[in-house]
Amino acid sequence: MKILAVDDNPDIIKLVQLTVEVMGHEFESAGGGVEGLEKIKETKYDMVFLDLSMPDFTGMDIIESLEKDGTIKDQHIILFTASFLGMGELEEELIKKGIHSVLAKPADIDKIMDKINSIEAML
Amino acid sequence: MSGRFEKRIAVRKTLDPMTRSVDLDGRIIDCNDKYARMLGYMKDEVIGMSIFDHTPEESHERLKTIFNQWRRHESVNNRRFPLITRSGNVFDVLITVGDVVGSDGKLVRSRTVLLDYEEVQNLQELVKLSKYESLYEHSPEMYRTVNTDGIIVHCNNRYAEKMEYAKSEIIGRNLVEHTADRSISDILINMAQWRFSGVCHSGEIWMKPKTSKEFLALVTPTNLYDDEGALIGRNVVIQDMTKMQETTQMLEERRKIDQMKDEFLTGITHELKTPLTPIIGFSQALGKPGMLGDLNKRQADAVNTILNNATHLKQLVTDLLDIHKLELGRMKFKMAEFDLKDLLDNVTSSIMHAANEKNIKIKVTSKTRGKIIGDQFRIAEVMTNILYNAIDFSPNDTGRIEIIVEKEDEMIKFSIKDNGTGIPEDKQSELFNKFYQIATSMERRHGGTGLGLSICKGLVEGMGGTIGVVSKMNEGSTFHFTINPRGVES
Repeated sequence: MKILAVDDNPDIIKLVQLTVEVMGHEFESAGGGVEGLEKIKETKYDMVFLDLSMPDFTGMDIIESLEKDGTIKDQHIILFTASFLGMGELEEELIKKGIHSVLAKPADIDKIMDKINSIEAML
Repeated sequence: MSGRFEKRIAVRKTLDPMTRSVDLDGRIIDCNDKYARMLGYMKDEVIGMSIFDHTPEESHERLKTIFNQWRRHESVNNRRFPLITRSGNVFDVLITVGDVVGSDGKLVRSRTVLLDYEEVQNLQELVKLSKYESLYEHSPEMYRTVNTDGIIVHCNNRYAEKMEYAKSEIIGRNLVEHTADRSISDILINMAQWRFSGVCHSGEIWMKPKTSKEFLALVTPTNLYDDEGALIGRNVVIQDMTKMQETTQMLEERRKIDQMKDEFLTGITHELKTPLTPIIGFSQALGKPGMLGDLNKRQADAVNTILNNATHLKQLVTDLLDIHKLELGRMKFKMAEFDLKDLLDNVTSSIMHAANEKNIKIKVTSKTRGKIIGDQFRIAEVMTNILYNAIDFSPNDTGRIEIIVEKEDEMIKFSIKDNGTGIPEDKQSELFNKFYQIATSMERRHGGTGLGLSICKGLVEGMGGTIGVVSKMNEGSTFHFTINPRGVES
């Protein structure tokens, strides 16, 4: 699989990279929202780990942009966020918009692996 | 008789107070139309007359006294005094004398307000006749009665007390004098509308006592009519709003603080969780075979210690957010149907490792079965929390824990019984208080934050149930909580 991580924290990028590569998948990263959206539009990824809160252009902006041009359904976006999602409403709303699921930070490495496996099983 | 007639016409036409201005020799140098009319003169005729001309002879001595008092700068307030009309009719007025002082500070002339005593009496009589008289007089609220010109003709004890005047100093004053500057235009507009339409509106105005600070008051007026149905004044209840205003302000401040607290907690937990992500992730990666190479035993122990502490920190952050959400009543519960058996299986398997480590036996007694509606995740959280406590406080090898699930009335009751150290009676009620366990949490193996039981209480109550404990020292404790099996709206 080809997996992208969009996050403004380089250490979190490194962690996802380690996990993805150990599992034998191809990894790319973007350190901000604008770069992330560009990459998603240029390249077909099998899975995207997307941070929600980033300066300037947020994960929410990316989701809304992809929703607008109708391509969000082609993506498997895992929202990887430390933001306080109120156990429900916002999460449900984002899933309705077309993201795959939410993975709360900090997540066990097993949970990250489980997510990758579950997407792989879908393909 | 004609004098009487003159007076009635005058009263009908206007309820202005009579005013006259007198020089130091007692000559009238100015007066208003009402004064002239009431006495049966044209205004031009009055100017230049002596005040003694308008006073019945038998009262000239009293007039002299009042006049000299005024010249000595002594106050003359609402003194009842007779006037005599051109045609010889005598009627009483309430006389209040004010000073007009020249630029040198010396007395130049008076400005005298004369209220028709009968008119005042009538209004006061109306108040007294009303069945509310005793309420008026002895009410803890302020009451005042004003005529259509805004002259205060009556007030109750409380009003006098709050405004810090003697009643005699109040009667005859324009209500504007008791109104703070910032509310004067409001009250004048209100009075004008009232005179015009007869409709009186309640509203808030700032009152001005003699010396104390201005205070906000709610004024609620009621119209007063004479026998013929003419509007002659109004009764006003005045409620001091200071307390309410303070309360409102306090609530508003508290709301702002809550909002700041909310933003702060949301922000700070985000900032805390972000660095925890690589700390926990890489610690786990280091301990996983095939990820970052093998560690020797001491290295593996060290990494495991980092991981345990980071996990503890993560739990603390989660607990803080939970307690905050519970406090604000913003905790959302995900209601769904689930099987009690699944819940019990999940819970017991999640704590089995900890129980095995201490060789503690766990027994499940399920007296009720089937599906219920609730937030399975949160119910499991409460059970796990209590179970970890039970494991912590139960002895190695001989420890026994029993989970009992049964129906109680319309609720499902979960009991977790241990044979641990027990909880002293005087401590039992404090157990569910926030941070109670923080002092003991350091000694604990399973990383309580001290928030555990208070979160459990909040969660259980949020799901429509109750939580409690029964315990005897050295015999063990039973924690129990109930859940509404039909779910609750959140």
